[in-house]
Amino acid sequence: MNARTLYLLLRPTAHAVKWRPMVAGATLGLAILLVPEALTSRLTDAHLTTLARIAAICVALGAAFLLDDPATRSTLTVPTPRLARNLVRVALAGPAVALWWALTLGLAKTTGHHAAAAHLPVAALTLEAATLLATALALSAIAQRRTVDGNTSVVAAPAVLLLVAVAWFLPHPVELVLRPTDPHWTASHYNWAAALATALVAFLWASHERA
Amino acid sequence: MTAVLAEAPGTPAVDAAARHRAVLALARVETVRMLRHPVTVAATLLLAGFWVSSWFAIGTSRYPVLQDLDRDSAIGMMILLGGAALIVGNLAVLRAHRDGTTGLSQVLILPDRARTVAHLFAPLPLAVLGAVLIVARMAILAICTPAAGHPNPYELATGPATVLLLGALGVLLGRLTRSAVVAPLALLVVLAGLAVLEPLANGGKALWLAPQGGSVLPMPVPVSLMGRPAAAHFAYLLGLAGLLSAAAVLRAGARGVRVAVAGVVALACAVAGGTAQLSAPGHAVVAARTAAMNHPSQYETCRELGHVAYCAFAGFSRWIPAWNTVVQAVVAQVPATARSARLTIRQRIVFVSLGGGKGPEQLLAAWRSDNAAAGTPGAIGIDTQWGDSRSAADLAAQVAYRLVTGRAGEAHVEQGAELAGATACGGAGVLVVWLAGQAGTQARTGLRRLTEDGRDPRGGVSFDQNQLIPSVYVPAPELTVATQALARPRADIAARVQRSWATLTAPGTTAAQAAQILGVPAPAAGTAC
Repeated sequence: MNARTLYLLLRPTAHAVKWRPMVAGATLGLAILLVPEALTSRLTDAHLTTLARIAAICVALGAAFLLDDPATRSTLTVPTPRLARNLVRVALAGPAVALWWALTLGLAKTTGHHAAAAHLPVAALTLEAATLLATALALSAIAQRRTVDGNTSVVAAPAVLLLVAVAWFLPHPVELVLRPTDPHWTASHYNWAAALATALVAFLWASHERA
Repeated sequence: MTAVLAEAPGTPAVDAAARHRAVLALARVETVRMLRHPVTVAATLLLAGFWVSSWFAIGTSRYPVLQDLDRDSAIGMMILLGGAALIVGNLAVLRAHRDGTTGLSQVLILPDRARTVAHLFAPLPLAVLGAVLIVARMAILAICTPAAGHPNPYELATGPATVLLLGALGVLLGRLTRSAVVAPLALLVVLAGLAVLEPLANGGKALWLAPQGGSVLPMPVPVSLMGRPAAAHFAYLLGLAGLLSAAAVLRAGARGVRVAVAGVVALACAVAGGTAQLSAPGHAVVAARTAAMNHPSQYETCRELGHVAYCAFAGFSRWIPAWNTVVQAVVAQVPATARSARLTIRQRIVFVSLGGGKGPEQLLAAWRSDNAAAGTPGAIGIDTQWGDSRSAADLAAQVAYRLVTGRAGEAHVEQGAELAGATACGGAGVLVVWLAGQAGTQARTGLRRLTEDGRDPRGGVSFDQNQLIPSVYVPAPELTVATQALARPRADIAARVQRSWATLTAPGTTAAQAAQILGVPAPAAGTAC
């Protein structure tokens, strides 16, 4: 396995990836954040933060389709390991998602006619979005281990929503979803960082093929 | 599916009864699959777990207001069980596509439209399960807690109705597109609607057209003043669910009188419910709200406990013993000579929209004349929310202020049209906070939270009679002295309070003098009272 092989994999993988769910999620996410902001000036910090979170969940749902591979039955025999194939897919989608997120938050901050838009906690929300994305990928990779037809999204997409629902209701001191004015806001982002690390480790572990 | 094939007779196309049996058999299979699906099981457990944990985590759930909790429960059900019905129903419709058996299903005895009907039946038992859960929650709260009021059955029914609505949406989306990402994204649109439709509608009635229904009042109110068109909203949701179902069946290729009739009935139901809900609240309810806000004494029943009269709105009288515990704890710390005043605790509600832009002065004047008319001058105001530490601290501090100064704390309008409570200066302010700290662990917790996180912009703390109207304000130096006194052994401070009651309550006593009397360090700065 060398860099040249990975480079050769880029173009066919880009063709093989299901981009449509990702595009649908990104478009809807953008609309969910920007349309209410354009329609009213009564949104508070808390409203905008919630909308930005929902936008991040939209694109995480799209990312749950990233590892779908109808050719799974035939890839068992290829010499390129699954981890490398998964990483190529992530390398293709990652920059696009990062660009989308920067664009979404940038537009939200600049087009908002009110003070709340300027105070959007960008760094914290980016950490949350990255965690959601990594969780979606980790769930897809875990689903890959069990699937026979390569349809990982059928498990990963509902699982992303379920995990989000659990995260929404987590009590103190492991709470994740807080308002920006909450005194535990910073502490909760240590929890987010821990969740991100866990999701990344889970993704790497699950992407390894069983010997 | 094997059951369908096994039960199907030889000539299904002409035998309508056999077709019905096959649809029912498929619906049964799909129902069981939906109920057993991991997403449904997890969502149900999460909903039940959330309801149980809120019992322990949220103070006010020990004293629930059932006419508010019914809507709350219905929204929780919409998000979790409705979301499960949407996603699982959609996955079920897309199963043939996912498994690459779409072509095969064309040769089965049931055509697509009949299979769609079976899929539409699948969320029904989940809605029934939701109804059982929501009724069980209300029953447990009504029996096991001193709950106020009673739930609106139609408001409860909107929970299961949203399960049907979102289930039908899942089936329709499955018929419209073969992408599995659309249903979860649709759920996120519903969630985004929950988050921002309220500011978007700006309190307008258009919010009733959303599945979650109109906004809630800023504070719990008696059942007769709710004025929520829950029955019309329920009919509207059922109509919408019927419309989506008809659209799904139409999309699957069904044409015929029955689909048309079902569609028309659903449309009529949705339009009738949709328009009826926009006319609420009626004039009678608005008039009743104004009357109850301005003249609470005429709508309350009073009960005397230990020389204190407690006046509560209909449905709230089960909270009186809990109020009494806090009030008596404060009274017990006061010397017998200072207990002569007859105390009245009166519940009060505020409807912001009924102020008519005249400001709060009129309301405060109305309350004064109401008190005079009822023969209870200096009545202490209390909220329609109870069980949290803040409410206990607010009540205790107001009772303390009444006992210390001989008059009830009352709000007044400061410059800039901001409402402010009566300022408790010097020894009186110190005593108010210290006495409030004697009213049990809840009041003590509320006091600590107020001191730590809930300071007024001026630096002190404000004790309110409800979420909108403040009552007593204690400035920062008085608060500092009282906090230090609360940290000292209780018996020692209590003895000093008993001994120097007259000095401490005298109008001229400053916070520094009070600190000296109580034996705690004096505050850095005095207050200009």
